[in-house]
Amino acid sequence: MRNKAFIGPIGDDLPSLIPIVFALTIFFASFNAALSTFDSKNNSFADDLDALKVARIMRSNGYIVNKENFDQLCGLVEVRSLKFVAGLAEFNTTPEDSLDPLKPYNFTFFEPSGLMKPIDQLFYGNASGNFYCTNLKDPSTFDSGVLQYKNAIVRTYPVILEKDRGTDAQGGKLGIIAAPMQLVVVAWR
Amino acid sequence: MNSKAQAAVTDALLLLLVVGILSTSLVLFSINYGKTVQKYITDQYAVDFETTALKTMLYSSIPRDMPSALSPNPTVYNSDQVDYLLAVVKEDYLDDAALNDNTKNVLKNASKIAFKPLNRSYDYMFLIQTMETPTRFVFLYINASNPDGTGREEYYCNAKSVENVQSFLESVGAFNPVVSGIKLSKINPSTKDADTVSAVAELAMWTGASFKNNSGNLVLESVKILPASIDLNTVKFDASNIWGCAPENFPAEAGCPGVLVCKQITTN
Repeated sequence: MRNKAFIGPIGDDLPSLIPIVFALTIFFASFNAALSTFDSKNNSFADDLDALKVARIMRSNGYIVNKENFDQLCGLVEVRSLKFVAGLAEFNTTPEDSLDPLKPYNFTFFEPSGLMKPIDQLFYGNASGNFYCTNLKDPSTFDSGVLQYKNAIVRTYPVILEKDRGTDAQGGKLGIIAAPMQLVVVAWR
Repeated sequence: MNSKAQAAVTDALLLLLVVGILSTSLVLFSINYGKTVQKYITDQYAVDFETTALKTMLYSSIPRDMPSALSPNPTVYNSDQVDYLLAVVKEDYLDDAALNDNTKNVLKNASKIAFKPLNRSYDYMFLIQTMETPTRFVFLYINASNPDGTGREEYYCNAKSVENVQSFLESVGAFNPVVSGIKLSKINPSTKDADTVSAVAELAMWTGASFKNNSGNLVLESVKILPASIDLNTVKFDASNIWGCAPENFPAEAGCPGVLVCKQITTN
């Protein structure tokens, strides 16, 4: 008679087990979510700081003399945790528009067709070569996928690049100008 | 026996409550985690950008040719003569310790070129001030968002003291000023020699927000906009001038703290 309602040591505590299991599930789910968030944010901050580091080395004192100077700076970058491409580009499509304060900024990574510009056309180049620096083994793999799917970090900075104006009609040297350009840094994991 | 079972359920519910509170705290903490670091990274980027922008502005080449029929818009690419912008500023300052409209225009345009990548999202102030006593603002320019957020508004400004500029910058929100020392020269009237004048070029940028509302009225008390009829150069920062001191707000015994006085630039 005394044991009529008794259905075993676990069965008797079944109503109390439900909230305990529920509590443990909530705890471990939130613990897991929090750890994922911490991990994801820490990775994001590390990438941001590495991108800043790349930019600081590449822009140096903000005055780039020539391709040799640019390549020297490129050689100083020792970032291995993420991939990057950093290069000099005009603010606008043409150098003249780039120095026109009334022309709005229209630098873009893409061609009108929607495809990404080849890296040689994306960044400024002269007789010495193109002004870009990357740790990619094959620079042609820098494509639209980087910007669309890889959570790429893009930073831009104004810098000065000394440009040779070439010669005039009589063959006289026109001299060197200090032209404002932009350093574009793209970094991704 | 029944009482024991009730106690076990109550204990379990209490455990659920405690775990619920802990889990909520953990989730909230993880959401807010890293905001300080994110702000630090954003500030570092802003400082890096401003530092190189200031150097880009001061060291860029500008054309020295005057517009002509053959070349109505001379650029550094088609001018016979080019010079560093800072050299042009020094040259202009030398004779009368002031900059003419053309040099101000050159400085304004240089800042607009350097800020092209960010000018949709940031407003900025660019100034050159001497380190004399009292401080003189040789050039003070603000490029700000317009109230409807579709374009930009530009202002030349002046102030009684550095505190007025500081007060304005504090009222627009977070900002990260960068400063670079420069040397100017001016003719000493008695000796006719060129005296060196220490000056600083300062650049401060902040997240774009117009300091006017949609009706065109100012939302900041730290700045006053002059009407078109008043010339900025005629503003005197003393107790006689309401633009400088607003005596109705600052009685004589409280001194004359002044405000930043700006005039909107209507043409390029």
